[in-house]
Amino acid sequence: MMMIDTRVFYEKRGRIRYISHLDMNRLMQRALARARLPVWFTQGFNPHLYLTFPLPLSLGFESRYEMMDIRLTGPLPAEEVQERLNAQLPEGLLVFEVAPPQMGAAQIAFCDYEIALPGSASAQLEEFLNAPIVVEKKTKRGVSEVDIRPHLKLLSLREEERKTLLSLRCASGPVFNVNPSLAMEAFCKKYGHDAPDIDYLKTAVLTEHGERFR
Amino acid sequence: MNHQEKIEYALRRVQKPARYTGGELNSVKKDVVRDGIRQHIAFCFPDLYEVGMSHLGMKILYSLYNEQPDVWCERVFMPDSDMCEQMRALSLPLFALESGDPIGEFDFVAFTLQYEMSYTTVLTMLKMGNIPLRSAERDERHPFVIAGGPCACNPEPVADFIDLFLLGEGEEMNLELCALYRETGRSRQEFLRRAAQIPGVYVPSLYTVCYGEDGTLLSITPREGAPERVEKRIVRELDQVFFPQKFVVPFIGAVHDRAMLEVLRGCIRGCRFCQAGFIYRPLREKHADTLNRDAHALCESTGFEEISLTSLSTSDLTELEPLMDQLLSWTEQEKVNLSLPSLRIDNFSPSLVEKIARVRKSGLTFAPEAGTQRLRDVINKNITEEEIFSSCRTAFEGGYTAVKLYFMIGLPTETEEDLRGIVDLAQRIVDLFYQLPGKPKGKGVSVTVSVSSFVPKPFTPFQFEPQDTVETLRQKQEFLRSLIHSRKISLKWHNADVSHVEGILARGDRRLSAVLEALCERGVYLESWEERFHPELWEECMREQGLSAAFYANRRRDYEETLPWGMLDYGVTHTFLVRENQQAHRAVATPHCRQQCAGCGANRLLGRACF
Repeated sequence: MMMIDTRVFYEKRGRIRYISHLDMNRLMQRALARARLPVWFTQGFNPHLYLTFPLPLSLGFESRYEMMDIRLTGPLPAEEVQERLNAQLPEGLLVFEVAPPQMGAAQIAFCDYEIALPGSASAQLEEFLNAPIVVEKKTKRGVSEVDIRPHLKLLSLREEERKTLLSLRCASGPVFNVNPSLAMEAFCKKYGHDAPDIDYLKTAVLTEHGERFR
Repeated sequence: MNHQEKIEYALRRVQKPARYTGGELNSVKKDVVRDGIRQHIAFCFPDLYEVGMSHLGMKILYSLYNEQPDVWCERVFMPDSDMCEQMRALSLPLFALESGDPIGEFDFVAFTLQYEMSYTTVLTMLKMGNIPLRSAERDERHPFVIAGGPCACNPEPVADFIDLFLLGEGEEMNLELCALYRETGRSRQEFLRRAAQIPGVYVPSLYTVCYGEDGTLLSITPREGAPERVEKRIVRELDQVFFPQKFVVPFIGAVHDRAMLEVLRGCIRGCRFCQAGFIYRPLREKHADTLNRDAHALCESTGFEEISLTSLSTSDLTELEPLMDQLLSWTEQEKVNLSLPSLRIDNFSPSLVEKIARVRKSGLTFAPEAGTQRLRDVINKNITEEEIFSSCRTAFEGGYTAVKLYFMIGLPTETEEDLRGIVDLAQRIVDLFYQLPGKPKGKGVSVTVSVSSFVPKPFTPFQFEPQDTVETLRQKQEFLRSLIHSRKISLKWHNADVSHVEGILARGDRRLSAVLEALCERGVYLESWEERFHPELWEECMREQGLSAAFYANRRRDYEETLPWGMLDYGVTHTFLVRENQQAHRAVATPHCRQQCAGCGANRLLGRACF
């Protein structure tokens, strides 16, 4: 059987950010089924639709750059896949590109995030980012204390409309991943902010050389 | 913060926020002003999202209501405790998922009563919606609070809180109620008085109940022209009944997260403990073509990867095999799994096993319900041991290795021998597996024995019977455990305290309303989740109201006693229930409806003979 690796790029905006990764998986499977796209199923005793996400997104995060990989069993124009899938997606999910994958997930090195905090916090943030950020990080071997500051890069920091906006580049990928919420929660704890009020928007996924991951 | 900002604030601070966001595929959004909505209905399922979203009845009525241009039906579920805490702190009233509007602003707040243990949740949801709990305290500013579902067959424990009950099947009745509301609007007295004239509608405030010195009912007296007896409604032509072509596809995994196909209503079996087997009578079936068409439409509109054929006894569907053939002709191609719960042990044919096995091998479930033939005759579970063993043999040879057996303890006339019979039966199924030459290679067998406690229910032949006390049930559970010596058998049982409270509520009367109210005030809800069930609070609140649990649960009723649900008519006659009760005590089985009509009376609703 023909198998055409296909990468679907989409946005996840608004209330749909409250859907977990596991639930996104099921949602996409059903959307693909409704779109009646010729997708490849794993073979074997209990066949299921082949679907992987190169880099899962945390619950509560919005994103302008999400990806899922599927396999098509026949050639189909990219625009048609995009249209048929978009017709089946709930509000907040929007496919903006469909293309053959150019890179493997292991090449993911960084993600950029736009982070918004209520109130004026830029001075505190500057101070916070000037020191090591030691957090408890879950690894396969248990919980350990790590300084994540070397894995973060502040791209911009500004205040507007009673909000503090910062742009942060975080080490990311299937092997080593620093979630920006680790840093922000440590910040909130130290300066007495309310962590759940922070907005996260993933804006880019990049390789080690700063190229767009595709 | 405004209302929407409060919701947003709360969503950021709770587990599984997608329970409260709405916006799922196929959910219905309307605009009250633009669409000229005359009736805004909050359909409440008194349990968590995952449970409520599994319920077929809600899906049917949600679609049915929303087909009406001037009606907008939204969904409401009980928030989990973390969300409740946020809502309390924010003074955020309970809201519906589609619009986010507080339920107190709706025209109707409708509850489905699926199990007794949801009653305190019903009250908590009203309280969270800032709606006065008692009907008598509500006025023109408040929505009508209505309820239906199986527990409406004895609605008395919640009679003080619900304005009207819809008895039986809701497809036609609900639309008639909508039509009446278009005429009366919120005029409470007029609406309720006229609603009581709609067949199937029971308005509890129009009935006065009097108790005698011994605590039993003396009389139930209707007022203002309400009928002496309210007869439940059925849909006569099931094959033509409305069935949704779309289900809301939940964002988070529901308990039953699949397409559900209702293949028949009612049951021909007449198991004497089973309320569903009597209150849904008479039997009506759908045709294979109709079912196959609906199944396909549902899969196309939802993308579900599984279809479940649901009914009380799916193997009693006349056209089951043709239906399976039709379904299998496309489900395999489209990678859709079929599941068939509720198959009867005695008509589990090899060709049916083969068809099921083509789709998926999972566990196999049988419900012998009692451990000896004598007791199975008492409860009218017309299954012989030979049938159990031959079904297991067929299943084992077909590759199954896990068997789940459902039993009940505390059944009328039960003896120690019957309890021994439960473990004995399980052991012999284990032995059977190892004796089979054709058993699956390299695999062990696992037999799960799941034991629930008998709860006597209204409109069953056992409605007169005393329930075992909690102490007796516990002793019986321990006794069963002491009998099991094989590691291939695992024993599970239900919490006896829960069964006890179910026993109180199932046959309870209006005086229990005060108990439920007191529990609600103490912050009790979601008792269907065992960790949130507090038997000591029940005891306390019953005592406070001067009510005896034993009076409700552990007392035998005379055939002549006026029962709390005496003003309701579910088709099966009192004479029939008495006759069946007497047959039970003689351990005489009654043939199923297709073999011989037992004269239960339900065919009166159909206006003809059932078969």
